Amino acid sequence: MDAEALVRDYLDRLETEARRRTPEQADEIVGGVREHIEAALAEAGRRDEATIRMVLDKLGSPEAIAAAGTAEDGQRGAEPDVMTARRDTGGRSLGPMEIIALLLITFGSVVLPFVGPLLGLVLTWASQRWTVPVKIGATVVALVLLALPLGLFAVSGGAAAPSAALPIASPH
Amino acid sequence: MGFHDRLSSPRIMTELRRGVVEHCVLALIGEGESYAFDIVKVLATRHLVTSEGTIYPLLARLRRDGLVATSWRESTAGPPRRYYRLTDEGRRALETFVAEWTSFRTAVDALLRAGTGSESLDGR
Repeated sequence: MDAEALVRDYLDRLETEARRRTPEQADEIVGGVREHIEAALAEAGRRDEATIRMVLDKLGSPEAIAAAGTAEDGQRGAEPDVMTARRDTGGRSLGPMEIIALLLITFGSVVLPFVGPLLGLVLTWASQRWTVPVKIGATVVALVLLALPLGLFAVSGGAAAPSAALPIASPH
Repeated sequence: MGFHDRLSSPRIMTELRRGVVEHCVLALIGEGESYAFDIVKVLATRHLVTSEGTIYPLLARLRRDGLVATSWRESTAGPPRRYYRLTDEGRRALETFVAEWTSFRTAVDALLRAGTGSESLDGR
C-alpha cells in the first residue's frame, strides 16, 4: 500500500464509522480529521509512509474516534446510565412504590387490618426517593392511624363489655 | 477489570481527563478564535489527550450544544479552515467550570496534604 493510500483508507474507515452520527456531525468529524492530517503532514514537511503512520497513530483508530463521547465509548460506558438513574429518582418524589406505601399507610387497614399499614411502612423505609425526615413523618402518620382504631376499640370495647356480658349472664 | 489495572497510571489519567478535557478545550478556544489542529497540539503537548482524533467529535458536540460556533477562514496553505470561537453560553459554561474546579482542586489538595500527614483532616 502506498503512503497516500494509508490516508485514504483511514478516512474511508472513519467515514463509515461516523455514519451512525447525524450527517452534520459526521461531516464535521471527518472534515476536522482530514484537515488535521494535512496540517500535521505540512508541519512535518514530509509525506513518507513513516510520517503518515505516525500522524495516524497519534490520532487513534477511526473506530475510537467515531465512538468517542458516545455510549459505545468504553471509557464512558456506564457513567451516563448512573447519572440518569440518579436524576430519575431525585427528580420525582412519588414513584409507584411510594404511592403504594401511602395508600397502605392510609387505607391499608381496610384491606388488611394492621398488616396493611405495616407493609406500607416497610415500603416507606425501602424507598430510595424519600429522605429520612419524610420517612419519619410517614411513620408517625402510620402509627397515629394505627393507634386510632386501638383507642376507639378500647373506648367502645369498654362501653360494650357490660352489655356483652348480659346475654351470657341472663340465663343464670 | 483487574485490581492492578484500576490502579495503573494510564487508568488514573483516563479517569481524571474525563469531564475535564472538554473544559480545557473551552478554555483554549476562550483565548481567541482557534484552529482545531492547534487546540489538539496544545492538549497533546500537555498530555491531556492520548488519541488526538477524539477531540474532533468533542468539538462537534460542543458546537451542537451551542457552546462554540465556527467560521471558515481562507488559508495560505491549502483549503479554507474551520475556526472555533466561544458563544455566550460557552463562556458561561467555562466560568462555571472555573469556579467549580477551583473549589474542587482546593478540597482535593487539602485532603491529599492531610493524607500525607502535613495537615490534619479538619483543615487545622
